[in-house]
Amino acid sequence: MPRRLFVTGASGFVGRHFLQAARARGHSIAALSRSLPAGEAGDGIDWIQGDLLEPDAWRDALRSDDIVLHLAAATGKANAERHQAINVTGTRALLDAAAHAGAAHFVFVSSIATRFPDQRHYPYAHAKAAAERAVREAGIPWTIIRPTIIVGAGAPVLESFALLAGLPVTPIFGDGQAQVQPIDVHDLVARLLAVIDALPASEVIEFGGPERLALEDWIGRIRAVRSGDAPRLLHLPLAPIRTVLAALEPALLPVLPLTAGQLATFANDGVAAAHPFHDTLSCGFTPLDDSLAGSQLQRLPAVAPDAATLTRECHAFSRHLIGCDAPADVVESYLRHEREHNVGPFSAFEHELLERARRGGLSTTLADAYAARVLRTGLVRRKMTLVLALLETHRETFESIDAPPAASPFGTWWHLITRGLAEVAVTAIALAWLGAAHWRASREAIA
Amino acid sequence: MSESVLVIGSGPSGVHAAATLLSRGFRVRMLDVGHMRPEPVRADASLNDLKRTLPDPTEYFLGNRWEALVLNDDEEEYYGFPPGKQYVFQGANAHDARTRGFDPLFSHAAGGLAEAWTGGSYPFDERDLGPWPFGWQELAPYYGRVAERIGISGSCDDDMVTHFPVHAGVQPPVPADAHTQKLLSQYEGARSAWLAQGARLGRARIATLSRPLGHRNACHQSGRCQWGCPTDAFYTPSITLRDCMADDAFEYVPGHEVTHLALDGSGRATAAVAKRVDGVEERFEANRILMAAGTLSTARIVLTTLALAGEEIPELTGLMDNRQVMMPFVNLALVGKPFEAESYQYHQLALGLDPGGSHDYVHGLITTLTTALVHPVVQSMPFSMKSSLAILRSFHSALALLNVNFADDRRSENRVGLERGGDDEWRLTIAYTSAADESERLRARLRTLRRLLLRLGCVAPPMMTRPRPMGASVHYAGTFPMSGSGGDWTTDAHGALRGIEGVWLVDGSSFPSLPAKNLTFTLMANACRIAEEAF
Repeated sequence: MPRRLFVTGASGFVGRHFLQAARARGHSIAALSRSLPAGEAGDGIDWIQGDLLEPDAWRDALRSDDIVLHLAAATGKANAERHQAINVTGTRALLDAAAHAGAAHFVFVSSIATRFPDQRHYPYAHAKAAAERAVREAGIPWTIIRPTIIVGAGAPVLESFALLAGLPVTPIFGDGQAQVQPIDVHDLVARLLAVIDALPASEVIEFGGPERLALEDWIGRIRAVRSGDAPRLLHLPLAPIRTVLAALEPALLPVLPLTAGQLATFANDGVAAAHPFHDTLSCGFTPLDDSLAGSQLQRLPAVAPDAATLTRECHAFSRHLIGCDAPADVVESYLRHEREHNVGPFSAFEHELLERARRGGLSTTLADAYAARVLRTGLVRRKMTLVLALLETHRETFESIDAPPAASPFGTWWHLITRGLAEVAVTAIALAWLGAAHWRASREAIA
Repeated sequence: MSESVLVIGSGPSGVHAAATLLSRGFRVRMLDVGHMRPEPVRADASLNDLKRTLPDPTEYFLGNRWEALVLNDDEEEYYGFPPGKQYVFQGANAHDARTRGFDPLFSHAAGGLAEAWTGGSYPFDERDLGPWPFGWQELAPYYGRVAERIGISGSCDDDMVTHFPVHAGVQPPVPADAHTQKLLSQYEGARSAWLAQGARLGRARIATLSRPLGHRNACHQSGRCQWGCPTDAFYTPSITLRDCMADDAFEYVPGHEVTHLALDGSGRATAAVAKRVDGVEERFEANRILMAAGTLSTARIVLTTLALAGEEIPELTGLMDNRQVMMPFVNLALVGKPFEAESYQYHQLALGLDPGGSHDYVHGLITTLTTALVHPVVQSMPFSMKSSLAILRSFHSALALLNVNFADDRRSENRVGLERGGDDEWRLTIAYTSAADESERLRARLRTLRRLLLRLGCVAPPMMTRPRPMGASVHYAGTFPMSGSGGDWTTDAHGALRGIEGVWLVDGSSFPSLPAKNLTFTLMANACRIAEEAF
């Protein structure tokens, strides 16, 4: 039966998928988001721009008999105060407003992490657990949903694991035997819709995917699908690393690649408990490899950069590779190729990396090193390969590519050693700095 | 009036069967699709001259549709396929084939797939010919005759003579480039260790002239091999085709793809039916038909013939192909030296690893890789593009590629069949499964080879060693094996097909085994033998 839904976190990863499916199901929707998605006016959704922590902006949009689906959350690298503010205070504000408006039911999407036995240094899990308590006590009929790891094209947590899986050596914290049960976002959305149809009151329902596997095998699967080979795993002791990260977090949170709390995934089984509601479901599962493959193959739509940008890019890459600007013919061929074969980036972050790469100098160097580790099949490396192919077939530049980099074999070995050291240093900086940016870009923003 | 023979296909088997028949006084008509090799650009220029003087060298080397550009989203090969050789595969893979475990290549070029070969010409020895209904003594004269016809250069007195028996017509080797000379001198130092492992190194036998032959000049080291030899010093079958065309008794009929044979009531083939480019069917009557379309295309024609005659379509067993593994290595002694762009580019050295038993013999070809485009290799390296390029430039003169070939044998699980595809056209079905012990055998041999290279001061990084998929070596054979004892869908020792009279298979179809050595030279010699002896 079509209902009116009030959805928070509507422009987030799960939110976007949910809205599409809910609209197809005929529900009418009021969607709360801090930033309105562009170009979706007239899509039949009543968008409300506002911050969860400022109820004045959205309180009046709640109506009696609404079903509230609360997806908004602070995740990932937010600090403890922010977790508390968004996940606990924000949830309480929403519950108050819902009760006041006379909402029919409150569906809270929580996390499997709330029942991890080991929640050391994990403010996200603490906050979500506190929010669950608030939901139970608010006096509105409620259902709490706890998904496991959510996968699918652009899934933030998947991107984070893919980052780990793509490293030349993948650190595994602890024994890597913690169980995971990733669920495709489409499967999760289908289950949320089933919950909204049935409204099972006062139930906590956990949803996981079709397979349970050890965390290190999960990382191996991502690697296999994305690069066709197996990761080299390096087992690191979990407890001291969590302690060190926790100690560093107050000062260094913005630049740390991951938080102590996120390491809880390595310490706890994240699989869904059986629930009678599962047996009522008619929706199936997306095979795990399809979820992973789909998230790799999907490029964003290509945006054709203008000729000036492409020219600048071509020169920057030429200077980076052989130390001088590209000859005019090379630029011309480059423009021709990019006109004929313009492809889009895999993600918004990749687009950002390309913009950094075309700035020239150190920015290009870092982007190259980062692409070599993490985005080998991506745009930056693709475009540099093209520039190299053009330079090595051009009359003015082929000889400098054919020549050894130094005049003597000794000089060449010396060049190789310094090059190797530079590569290590640049790669370390690139992974720390761009890795942090990549991580941030792939986190789900709060609504 | 002399008798006429119909030959189907202009690959190495077809042209050498035809040339032999012509020399015996037969008239020969050859049906072929026949895409022609383009005229070479500036035949006198060296590779670097081309880069310096062509108006648009990028178009010549990368192709006007970027055919030779290898970007980072396909990581299969270390080479971009040269635009100048696109004609070899032009239009040939339009046929639908349903395959499992096998990636077949087809060619419609005048000269066939061997237009894109690398010239390795290695006679099968007595042991290689073990399962064949004849031995070295019977085949040696034909190796000699082909060698005299096409020109083969190489050594007849180095260590590889153990594996490469001597026949007539071998010219001295082409001048070795600096890297090849270095490897040979390093081998002298490590020779006893190599021999102790059953391993040997020596000059390659290649179909490249070191002395003029007929109207063809010797190799002049332009460095352009990969992009198509501009002077015919490097042999391809289209050269023999051209020689045949100079003979009045030869009629070349291009633009025709044979689909099936017409049978009379007694099951004898009386004509070949071909489809013209414009789709019109034409019949070519013949008393004798020599099939040289290549193992897979010959199978398609024979199976389609049976299907159209309303007979049961057999499933052919025993398809073979050589597994190839590409093993790039670095010769540490040459790091940082400049390299010679103007040198012979295909393999100059051959390597044999023989732990005993024909099936175990591993055949290696060493190419010193100087003028190949570098961007496909650079983008495949596990470092930033800048560092990868610096490493490649440092190692350029020190780089080489060992192409390791493994023998195959006929196994019943490897099948070629025919079915109706979605568009109601007949299509081949090909299923291939590697031998159960293959990966173990490969690993062991590759480990040995890596150690042997180390003895020469060469390092082969394991992560850069890549097995090519089955089908990539294009050494297809074994669907209608020669057998002295008869049997359904076999041929006799002269390639006469049992089941359809008047048809001789002169291509790889009739090979009863596939040694590790490149099969092309034996295809030519065997086609000569059949054309000389069968009737």
